[in-house]
Amino acid sequence: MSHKILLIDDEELVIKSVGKLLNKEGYEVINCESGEEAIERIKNENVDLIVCDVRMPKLSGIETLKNIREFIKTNNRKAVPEILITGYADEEATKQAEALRVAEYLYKPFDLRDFLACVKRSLQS
Amino acid sequence: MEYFAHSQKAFVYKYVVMMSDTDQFKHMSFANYLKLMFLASDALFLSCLNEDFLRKKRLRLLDSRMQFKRQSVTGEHILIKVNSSEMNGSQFTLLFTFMIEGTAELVALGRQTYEVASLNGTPVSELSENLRGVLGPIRVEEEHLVYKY
Repeated sequence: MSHKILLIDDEELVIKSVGKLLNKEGYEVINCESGEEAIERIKNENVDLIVCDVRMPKLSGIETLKNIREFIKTNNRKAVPEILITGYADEEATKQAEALRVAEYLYKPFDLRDFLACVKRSLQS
Repeated sequence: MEYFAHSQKAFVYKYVVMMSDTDQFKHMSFANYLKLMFLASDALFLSCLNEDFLRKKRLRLLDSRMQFKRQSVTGEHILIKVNSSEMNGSQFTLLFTFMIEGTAELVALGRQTYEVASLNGTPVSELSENLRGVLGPIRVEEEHLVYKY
C-alpha cells in the first residue's frame, strides 16, 4: 500500500515539482495551497506524512502544524511525522520549528534527492 | 523524533526596493530585476576576483535569462540566493533565486552562464583557484533542484 502525503504550500511551482516527484516515486499526494485547506482535509484523510511550507499567507506553516497536531491528539489518531520547508527562515521561525520537534527542515531551493531522502527517513521513523 | 536541518549553502545578496526602481504603479520595473541579477553576480565576483585577474582575464556573459513570478514594491527587502552549477573548463553557470525577505515569496528565478577568457578572447583552460573556491561551496546540481531555472 502506498503512503499518503499531505503537501501544503502556497507556491504553485513547489506543489507541481514536489507533487510530481512524489507521485513518480509511488506516493499518493494530497495537495493543499493553504493551512486552512490542510486543516479541513486532515479531518477526512489519514495521512502518513505532512510536508508543509513555513511562510504562507494567513495561517503560517507552524500554526497549521499546531492545529493539525491538536486535531490528531483530540481525535486519538496516530501522530504523523512532519517536514517543514522554507525559502527564508529567520531565527524565530527556526526556533519555533525546533520547539515543535518536526522531523526535518529544508531550505529552498532544495535538492529533490535530499527531499526524497527526508521523506523516506521520516516515513521510517 | 530526531530533528534534521538541511541548508544548501548559497551566496546571499540583499536589496531594498527604492522609489526610483518603481514605475507609476509602484511596482519594480522589470529591467531592475535584471540589474539586481548583475548586482548580485558582481558582489559574488568582487569577493574572489583580484586585480591580477582583472588585468589578465575577462568574464564574458554567454547567456542570461529570467522568469518573473511576482511583483515587488517600494520598501520590500529582496533576498537573492546565488548558487553555481555546471563548472566546465572555462565556463560556469550562476542560478539566482529572488525572494521577499520575511514572507519568502518567490519573486523571480534567474540564470547566467559566464566564460573566463584571456584579454585576446581565448577561453582559459580551467577556472582560477579563487573562482573555484567561491563557486565550489555554493554548487548545486541544477537538474535536481526544486525550481527550474
